[in-house]
Amino acid sequence: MSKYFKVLFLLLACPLCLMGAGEVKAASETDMYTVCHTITSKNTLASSDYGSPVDLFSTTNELLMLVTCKGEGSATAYIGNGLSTQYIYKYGYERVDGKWQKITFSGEKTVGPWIVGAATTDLVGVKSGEKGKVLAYICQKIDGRWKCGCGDEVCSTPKWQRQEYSLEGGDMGEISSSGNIDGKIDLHYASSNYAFPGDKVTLTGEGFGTGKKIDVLWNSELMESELVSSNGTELSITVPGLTPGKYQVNVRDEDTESEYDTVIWIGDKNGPGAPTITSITPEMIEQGDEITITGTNFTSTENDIITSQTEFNHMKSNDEKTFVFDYEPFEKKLVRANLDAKIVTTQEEVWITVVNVNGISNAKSFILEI
Amino acid sequence: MINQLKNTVFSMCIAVVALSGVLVPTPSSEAQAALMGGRALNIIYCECEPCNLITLGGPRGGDFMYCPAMYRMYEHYRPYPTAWQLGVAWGYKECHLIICGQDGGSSDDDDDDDDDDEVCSCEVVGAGPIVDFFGTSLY
Repeated sequence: MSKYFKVLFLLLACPLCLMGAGEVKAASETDMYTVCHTITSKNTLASSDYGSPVDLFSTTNELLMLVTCKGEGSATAYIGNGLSTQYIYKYGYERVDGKWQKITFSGEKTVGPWIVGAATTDLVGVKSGEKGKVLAYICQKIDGRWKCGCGDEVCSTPKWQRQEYSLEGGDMGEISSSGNIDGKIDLHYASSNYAFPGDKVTLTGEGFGTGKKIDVLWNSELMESELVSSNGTELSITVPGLTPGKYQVNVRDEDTESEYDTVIWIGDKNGPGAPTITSITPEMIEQGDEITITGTNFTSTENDIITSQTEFNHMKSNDEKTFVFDYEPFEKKLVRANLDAKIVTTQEEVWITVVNVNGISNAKSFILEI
Repeated sequence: MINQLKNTVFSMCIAVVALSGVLVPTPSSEAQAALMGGRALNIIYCECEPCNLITLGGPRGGDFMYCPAMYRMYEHYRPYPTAWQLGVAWGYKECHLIICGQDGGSSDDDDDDDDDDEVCSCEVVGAGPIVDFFGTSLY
């Protein structure tokens, strides 16, 4: 799992865990990551020796330098917008309490001393009241020409771009925060969507209420009853000895059943192992074109093919090695246009995962032309 | 005297705050980073930009613009209802759909053709922060 996503999981899952679990709050707060950078506007450093940490060439000036803090102990910088038109110099600088230190960024793809698209590094943590600073040198390909170290749109004088951070830091933006204030039971997700009989799986949700007795239903059939959550948001269950297959799992208390359920596939311990996707052909298609997914350990009748656009259920693979079907992800053919409403062609990378009683496959992508 | 000074400073502060309310753009139009996370509840496939407008429920929900060319997506690659989404978004972008209608023609039009020309335009149907990177649940 990417470090980006791990941080986000902690950022978001922890507040979720704390809802309805006041006694856990004090102990967990110090372990939480928070967004702690303080510069969010392109004008903040306009007249300084440094450039603001935003994309100066986009209309929305999105941030290119983001920092998260974990208490007073550590901080992490995230640089770049992820696009291959952006190169980040692998060395940068950080400053806490008046001293500049060289830092080294890392990323998935490098070209010489440059990191393509997205870079990250750990920073020195700041204490309450301190201000940390981080510098990065970023190049962007704009209209076919490279623009490097820009402090403004003209980019006449090379500048490092600077972000600052503090524990009192970050503006979280205009996002609604809502908890389950009515205490109604609501199942969110399972810790694993594939398990064997006897395995322990944690169900996460809301309204599990400390001391509340909860039933667990597998395809609407009661399998475990009067379970108690230890913190109001998590429920530890044991996977029952049901026939291998796909199950809709839900929870209910004495008043009501959760509006949403989740899926857990019960696996066969004697099965051949998780499916794998080895190829998708052709590599680029249009909506409605035939697509072939080749791999191993598909099953003849029941497979879920989950794409980044839709989900196909009950998919068959006669030879258990291939799926051949017309890729129609939308109810009606999707069109794209420019702002003058003139139709244009765009390309989108689509990811595919296969899930069946043998397990969850790797993900592989192809290009859909829309 | 001191009280007079306090009142003057207080009045100035009120004036600055009031003025800033006029001059500072609304939060939704600024490039601020924001955490996003919740169950995807609804999706609109924007037609005039390669993006989808997705509504997330709590704990950190709202409307977000998912633009494949602009985001980094991590496992389990499921940015649509009813999967859970965890990520960071910033900036602000509108979602448009193509709306077509008859242009009605003009009264001095010599054209005998009774069929009015169809005129299409892009109309805003929603907007939200642009998703930068995120991961999703499998189901």
